[in-house]
Amino acid sequence: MSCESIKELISAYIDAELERVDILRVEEHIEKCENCSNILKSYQNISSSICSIEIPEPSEKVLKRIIMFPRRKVYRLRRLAVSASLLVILGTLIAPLFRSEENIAQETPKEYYIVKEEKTPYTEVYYEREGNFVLTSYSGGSF
Amino acid sequence: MDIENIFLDYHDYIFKYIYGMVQNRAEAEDLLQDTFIKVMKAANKDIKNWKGYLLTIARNTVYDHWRKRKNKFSLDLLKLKTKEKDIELKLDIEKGIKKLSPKLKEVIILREINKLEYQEIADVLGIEKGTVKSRLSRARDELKNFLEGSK
Repeated sequence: MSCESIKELISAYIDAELERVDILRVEEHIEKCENCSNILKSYQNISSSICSIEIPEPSEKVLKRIIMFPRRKVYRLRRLAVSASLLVILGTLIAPLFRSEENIAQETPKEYYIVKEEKTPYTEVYYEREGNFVLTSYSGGSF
Repeated sequence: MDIENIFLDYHDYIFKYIYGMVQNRAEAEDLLQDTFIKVMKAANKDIKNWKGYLLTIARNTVYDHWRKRKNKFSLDLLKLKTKEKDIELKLDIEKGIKKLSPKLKEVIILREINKLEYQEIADVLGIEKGTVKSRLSRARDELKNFLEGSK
């Protein structure tokens, strides 16, 4: 067997990824071939030096940040849900106080009352709704 | 399985892979975070092979990171150059690994650092077992030449 074709087998040989037939082939070859025997040695050295590379550990800060990620997300969602429901409740409670002018104008007024004053001329238009006088328009000078 | 336990069990293992690929601690930490955030966001938690799944996600994250860096390379050229200088690789073998192409680098990392078998490497990379075998042989050959050249 040629040295070139044994080279690929040598790499798989040190990884214990060869069939029995190929293991024997490699062992037979390197016994006779000094060059390939040296290749095997240097591949083994490469393996052990890669294993000796000091790999740092990720910092505690980073680990904590990652592990807190899903909780932070859930917390945020929960907070969002709480504020949304609060808004809905609040909205229903105070909505009648904030009826827009448009809504008011759409209701047909029963009566109009026009008030005029000489010193500061202005006009207020009221209409009666459920026994109350509601101001619907105002024109004239400032107070 | 609970994602928190998955993280506790595998973060070290995944960090080793990422560090092996980028050889820089701060960069590897960012990519570890990106990897696990992707996993947490993924809807499908019914994973049988967590090790393989996490490695695949980590690999995609590393490649995405390289692609982005390549895109803005011209802009960050100066910044990167100074950054590269800060990384001091102690051993010749680390310098040799840094010189390998990504394809060869990843097989050697998955084999030597993550201790995967050829079939497992093939599954993570989506390639044939025979390709893993030949890439590993080429990677070792290049490392051997580099180490002999640097002597």
